Amino acid sequence: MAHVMIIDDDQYVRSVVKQMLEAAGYVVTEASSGREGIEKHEENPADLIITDIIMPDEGGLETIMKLKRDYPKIKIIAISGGGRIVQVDFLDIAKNLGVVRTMQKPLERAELLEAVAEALALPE
Amino acid sequence: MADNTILKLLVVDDEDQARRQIRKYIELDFNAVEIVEAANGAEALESADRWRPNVIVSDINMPVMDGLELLRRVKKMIPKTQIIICTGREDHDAPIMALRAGASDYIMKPLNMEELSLAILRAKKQWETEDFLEKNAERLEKLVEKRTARLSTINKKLRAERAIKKELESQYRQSLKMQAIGVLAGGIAHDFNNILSAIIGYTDLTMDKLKEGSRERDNLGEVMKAGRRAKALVKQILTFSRQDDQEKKPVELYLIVKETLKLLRASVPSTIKMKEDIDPDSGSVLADATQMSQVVMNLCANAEFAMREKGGELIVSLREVEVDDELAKNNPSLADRKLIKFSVADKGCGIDSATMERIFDPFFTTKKAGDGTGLGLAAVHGIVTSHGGAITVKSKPGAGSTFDIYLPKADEPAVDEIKKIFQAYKGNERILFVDDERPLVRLGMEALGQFGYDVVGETSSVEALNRFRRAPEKFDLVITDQTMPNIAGDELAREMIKIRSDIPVILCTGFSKTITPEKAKDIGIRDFILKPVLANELAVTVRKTLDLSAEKER
Repeated sequence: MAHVMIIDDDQYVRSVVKQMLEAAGYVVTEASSGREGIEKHEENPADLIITDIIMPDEGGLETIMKLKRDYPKIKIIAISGGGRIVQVDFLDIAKNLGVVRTMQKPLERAELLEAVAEALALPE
Repeated sequence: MADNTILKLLVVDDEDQARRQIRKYIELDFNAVEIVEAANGAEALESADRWRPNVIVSDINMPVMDGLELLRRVKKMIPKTQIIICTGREDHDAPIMALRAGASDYIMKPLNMEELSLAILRAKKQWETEDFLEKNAERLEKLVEKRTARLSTINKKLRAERAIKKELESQYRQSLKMQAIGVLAGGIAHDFNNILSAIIGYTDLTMDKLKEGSRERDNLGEVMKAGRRAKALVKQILTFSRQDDQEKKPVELYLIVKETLKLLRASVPSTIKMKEDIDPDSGSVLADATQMSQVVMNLCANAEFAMREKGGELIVSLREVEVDDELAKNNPSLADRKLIKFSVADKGCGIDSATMERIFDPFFTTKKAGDGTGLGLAAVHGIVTSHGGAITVKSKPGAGSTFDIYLPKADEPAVDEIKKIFQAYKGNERILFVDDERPLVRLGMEALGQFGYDVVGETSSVEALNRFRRAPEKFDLVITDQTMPNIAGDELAREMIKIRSDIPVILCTGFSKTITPEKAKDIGIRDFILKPVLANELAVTVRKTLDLSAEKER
């Protein structure tokens, strides 16, 4: 079964996403920061990475850039609950960085499962 | 407000490497940015004088002229320039000195680029506000001066000028208030959506484990509903902060008004009579169609609310108008323009003067908790002004209220999105629509009726099956809800397919585990629609299903 990693500094978001995906049969790894996500991906590469954008230390945009640089083929879904700053849509920026899809929080299960299945079905 | 202004950033540091690093990151982070570099304060001061940056990021320790001196001089020369000072961690006094001298922010070295980027954004925002303030003050002064000179002999007209000034000031106050709400909204939305992710997500996961129809599951269903309401609310609050990046296209307003009224009609009680006076030739406006629909929806919902107890008439009108003096006086930007006027009038309870004062304030509401959020009219006001329009209210307590919205007419003809959708998904097939909730049947019939379909509605699945059994060839498609008393949707589909194997059936369902896609496919159900069903989504699915089944026959 496909291996999905969820990177988010909010443990509840991580846990909910993990449970939803596991119930649908995916193998799920959690990471609480971009840095941890990249380390875990090095050890045990994921087929798909779902990452939050606004996180302390290393933000999601930076993480996406690094992942795309080191693993050009990696599929990433960027999720965000809206910016802390007005009039900047971070998800738009993420789109330009080459993620396969962006989603607004709060995520609903049907939406999430559909997005994950679609992303995994994309050609490499 | 002066938005989407380009960021003019002056980066001051004696180390090339540091300047380059900032330039590289900021160029990536901002869409519209010009960056000029300077190696010390003196060089920077000269650039600032010549080039007028809106934000300066400066190191503190530099040869020739240091960051603090630069800060003092720039603030004296161009006060609205925003300056961010970068200080070393060991230099404890520097931040205080910088802030005292008028810096808008300080950042500790080594620089965290994301933090710096956010600080620059904040500073740019601040610059825009100060710039707006400056320009508006000038504009106001000039306007009053000019008019006062011309009218000074006539006392009556002088009074009118005072009214303009007051109006402009209140408009300005309102715009500041909206902006503050926007900043606040952006800040809380992020955390709020995380919280909602947990509430909605855990509820959804737990509902799965409970028996359908059990009290526990129904209760969690209510939690889910509340969560979704909160989600919609956050979205609505966020429209404040997004008012500037909406996509505006020429749209024919009458189509949006008609479309929205059709949706509304299903929820308006029969004691309220809806009257329309809509001119289809009133022309188009440059607008965001979704937001316009929101305006119509909000105003009509308020009118309905005002008459809910006693009933009455709700009159909606749309036509082209010329600017009259009163309007032009209060809204100088509308002078000499052709306008489209959209009005919603009710015969409800009216608005008292205390409420009138605060009517467009965000979070101000006269409704009791649960009935309203206090965002409706504030959102309407925000949307209308961001479209360059104006809104006025006339009301007498006890006699009803009229909201008039004026929008500048667009020069280009409308690219008709609605017509395009209509053309692509219309049809004349016969559809049987089954749902045990009458309003939903009405809504489905209205929505599909608009696209030309011939729709028969049923609120009882038993009746629906009987009707189908009597004349199975009379229908080209069946749409059914899943959760219904007596015969559930999947069972109904199974029976109908037994009667006529080629009948396409679409199942409307909430997210449920009792009926999986595999199971539905086994029964012969062609497609799913997740509730709540949207009119356009319904039309698309119906057309797709009908086209596919026609292909199969061939």
